[in-house]
Amino acid sequence: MGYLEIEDISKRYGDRTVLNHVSLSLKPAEFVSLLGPSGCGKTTLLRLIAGFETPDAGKLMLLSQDLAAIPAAQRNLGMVFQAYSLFPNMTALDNVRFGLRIRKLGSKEQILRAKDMLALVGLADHMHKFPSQMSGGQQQRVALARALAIRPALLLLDEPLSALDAKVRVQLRDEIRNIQREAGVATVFVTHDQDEALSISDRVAVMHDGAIAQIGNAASVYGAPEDIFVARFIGISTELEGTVAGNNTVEINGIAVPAPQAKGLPMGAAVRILIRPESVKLSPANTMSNSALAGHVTGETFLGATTQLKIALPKGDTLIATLPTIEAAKFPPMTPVGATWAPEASHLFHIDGRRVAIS
Amino acid sequence: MNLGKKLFLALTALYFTIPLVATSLFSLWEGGNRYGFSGYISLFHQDELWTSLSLSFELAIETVFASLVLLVPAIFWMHLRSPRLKALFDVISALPFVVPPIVLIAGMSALYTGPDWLISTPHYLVIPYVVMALPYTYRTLDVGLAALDLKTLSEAAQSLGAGWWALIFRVVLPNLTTALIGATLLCIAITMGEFTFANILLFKTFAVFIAQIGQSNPTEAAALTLLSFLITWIAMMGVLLTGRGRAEIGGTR
Amino acid sequence: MDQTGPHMIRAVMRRWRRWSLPALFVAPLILFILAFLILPSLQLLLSAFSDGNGGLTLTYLASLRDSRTAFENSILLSAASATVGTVIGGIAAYLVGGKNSPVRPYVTAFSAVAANFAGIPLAFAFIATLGSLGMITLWLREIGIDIYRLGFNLYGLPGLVLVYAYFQIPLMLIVISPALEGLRKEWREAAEGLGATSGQYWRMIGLPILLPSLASAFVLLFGNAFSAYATPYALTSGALALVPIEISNVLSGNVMLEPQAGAALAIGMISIMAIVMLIHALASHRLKKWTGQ
Repeated sequence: MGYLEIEDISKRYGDRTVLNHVSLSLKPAEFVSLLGPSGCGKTTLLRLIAGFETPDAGKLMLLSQDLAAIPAAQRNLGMVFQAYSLFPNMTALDNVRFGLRIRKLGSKEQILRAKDMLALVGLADHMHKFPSQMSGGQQQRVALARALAIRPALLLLDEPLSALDAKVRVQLRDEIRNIQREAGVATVFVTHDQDEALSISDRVAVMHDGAIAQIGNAASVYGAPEDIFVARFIGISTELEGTVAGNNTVEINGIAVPAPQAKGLPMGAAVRILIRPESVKLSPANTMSNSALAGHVTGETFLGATTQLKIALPKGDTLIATLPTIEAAKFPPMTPVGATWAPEASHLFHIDGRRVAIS
Repeated sequence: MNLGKKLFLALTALYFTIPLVATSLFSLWEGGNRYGFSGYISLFHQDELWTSLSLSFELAIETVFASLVLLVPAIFWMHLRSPRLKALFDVISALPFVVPPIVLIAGMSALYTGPDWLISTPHYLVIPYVVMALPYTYRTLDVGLAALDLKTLSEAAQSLGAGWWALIFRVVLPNLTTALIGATLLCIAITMGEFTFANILLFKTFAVFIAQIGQSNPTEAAALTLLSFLITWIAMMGVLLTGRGRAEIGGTR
Repeated sequence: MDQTGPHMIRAVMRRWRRWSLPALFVAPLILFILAFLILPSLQLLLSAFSDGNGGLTLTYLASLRDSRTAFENSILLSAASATVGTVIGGIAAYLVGGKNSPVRPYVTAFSAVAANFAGIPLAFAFIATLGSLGMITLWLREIGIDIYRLGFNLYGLPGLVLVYAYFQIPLMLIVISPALEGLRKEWREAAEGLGATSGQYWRMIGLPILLPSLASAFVLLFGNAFSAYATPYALTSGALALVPIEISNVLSGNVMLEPQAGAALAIGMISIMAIVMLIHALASHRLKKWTGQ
C-alpha cells in the first residue's frame, strides 16, 4: 500500500465524466506531476484529494486511512493555488502563521516556525509585507511556506506557476523542487506545462479525458510513450501514416522503412509512426539509401546549438528534424534530402492510438 | 444549503411578497365582504388618472431629453479630450445625494420666484428631475461611452471627412443606443414615482394623484399602487436587459 | 500705430478659440448644476444665517435645538433601518450567491424594482398589509391576535423601520454583491485546507476584508433613510417628527416658522448627508486596495 493510494476514482458532473476509474499510488516524499491539457481532470483529482469535492466512486487512502470520512479541514494537507493564494488582509508572516494559529500553537512558537518557513523560501526580509506589495513569484513562495508550516501529510500544488512570467516560472520551479526535497513531503503537482512536469518530477502522470494515459519518470514518458496521445502531447514529433509491409518494414508513401516493431502485425495493417526530431538523420538526395524518405528542406529555425529543419515530403507531410547547427548548415532551404532514422528510434501505434506491442 | 439558510431566504422572500399580495387583495375589496374589480373600473373612468399618468410620462420624456442634451456632449468631451474632467464630473454626479429632494426644493423655491410662466407650469419640474436623475443617467452614459473607443472612432471619422455634427449624430449616438435606452428607462422609473417636488409645488403628477386617492379611497389607492409597481417593473426589466444585468436605483423614497 | 493693440486682440481671440469648443460641450452641464443645485444650496446657506434684514445671525442655526426631536427621530430611524438593511441584506446577498447562482438574476431584477418602489406606493402597500384595516391585520384578528392592541403601530418609528426595509435590503443587496464577489473562492478553500472552520474563516478573513464595504454600505443606507420624505409622509401624514417632514412643513406654510428656520434645517440635513457621502467615498477607496479592484 502506497503512502497515498488513489483507487479507482470516478467523478461525474451532470452527464460529463470528468474522472474515469483513475488509480495512482504515491510513495513517501515522492514528487508526482499530473500533466495534461485543460479538461483532462487533473485539477478535479487534486481537489478530490484535498477534500473540496467528493468522488462518486472509488477510495482515497492516506497512510492506509480512508479519507472519505475526513472533511477537508482535518486532512492536514498543504495546498497552493494558481492565483489569489494569500489572504490579502494579512502580512506574509501572518499568512504563514494562519494554519498554526488554527492549531492553537503558542504565539511564540507560531512566529518562530513561520519565520523559519519564510527563510526556507528565501523571503525572511519580506515577512511584514502585504500580498499587494509582493510580486507574483513572491506570493507563491509565501503560499508554499504557509502550506509547509503546518507540516502537512501531503503537498498539493494546483498550477502554482501558470500565472507567473516565463522567467520566474523556470526559476521558481527548481526552487519548489529543492524546498520539497528538503521538507521531504509527498507532493502532487498539477500543470499543463510539460517542461515543468518533466524537469522537476520523480514521476509524471499524463492525463487525458479523465484517465491516466501513462505514468512513469520523465525519460520513459518521453522515450517510451505507451499511447499516441502521450507521444503527441510530450515533446515534438513527426507523425506519418503507413501500412505494414513484409520483412519488418512499414511502407510510407511507397518507401519501405525498417520497423522491427511491426513484426507480428498482419500485412497491410494501417499504422501510425512517430519520430522525434533528434532521431532523424539527413543525407543529400544523391547519396540517400532506398529506405530513406525523399523530400526537400522548406524551412529552418535557429535554436542555438541545434537547428530545426522542416522537410516537405510528397503527399503534403512535413518531417521535422533537429540537427546540430553545423550539420544543418549542409542543408539550406530548397535542398533535396533523404531522411532516415534508427529502426528502434521510431514509435509505432495502431490507428486507434495504442502502442504496437513489442513481440 | 442547509435548513437554516433556506428558512432565512424563505422568510425574506415572504416579507417582500406579502405586501404585494395584500395590496392585490385590497385592491379588489369592495367594502364588507365583497370582492370585485369595481375599484379598478371606477379608477379607469377617472379622467384625473389619465391626465396625471400622461403628465408624469410627458415629464419623464422631457427629463430624458434634457438630461441627454446636457450630459452627452459633456461626457463625450470628457472621454475624447479631457479625461481630467472625470474627477469633477464624478463629484458633480454625487452632489444630488448630498442635497436631497426636500432640501433642493426648499433652496429652489427660495431662490427662484419667477418668471411666472416657468414656475407655474408643471414642466418646471423637469429641472429638479434632471438634477435628481443625474447620478444615474450620468453613470449609465459614462459606462456606455467608455465602452466605445472614442479616440479611435473620432479619428477614423475625421480622417474620412466628418465634422463634429456628423461625428456625434452619425457615429457616437448610434453606438450609444443601449446606454440611451437604459438612461431613458431609468428616468421613466424615477419620474413616474416622484412625489416630493410635485407635492410641494402642487402639481398633479401620478404619485401625487395616488396620494390624493389614498386619502379618500383605499381600494383605488391599492389598485394604483399595483399599477405603479407594474410600471416600475417593466422599466427596470428594460434597464436590466439593456444594461447587461446591472441594477440601478433612483427616485423618491 | 499701436502695435500692442492688435497683438492683445489676437491673444484674446486665440484664448477664446481655445476655450470656446470645450465650453460648448461642457458648459451647459456646468451652468445647469450651478444654477439648479449649487446656487439653491448656497441660498439656503445664506438664508440660514440671515436675520431677514440684510444682516447675519446665528439664531436660526441655534434654533435647530428646537427641532431636536426631529433630528433624534431621523437619526434613530436611519441608524436602525441601516442596521436592519445591512445585516439582513448582507446575509441574503451571501446566501443568494455569486454570478453563477440560479436565483441570482431574479434577485437582482426584484432588487432593482423594490429599491425603486419606495415612496407613496410602498407606503400604501404596507397600509394595505399591516395598517389598522390591512389584510394581515384583519387575518390575524380573525385568528385571535390583535397586533395593534399588543402595541404594534405601523405609523410610528418601528413601523417605519419595517417599511424602510423594503427598499433598504434590496439596496444593500445591490451594493454589497460586487464586494462579496471580490471574496475569492481560493481564500475560503485555503483557510479550510489549513483547518479553519466556517466561523474562523469569517472572523479572521471574510469580515475583515469586507469591513470597508460593509461600512460604506451602512453609511449609504443611513443617508438613504435619512433623506426619505415621501414614504414617511404617506404613512404618518406629517405626524411623526422627522427632519424632511419638518422642512416640508416650513415650505408649505404649515407652521409658524420663518423660512430661515427651514433653511437652517436644510443646512443641517445637507451637512449630515455630506458627511455620509464623504465616509462612503473614503471607505470605497480603501476597498480597492484589498482586492485590487
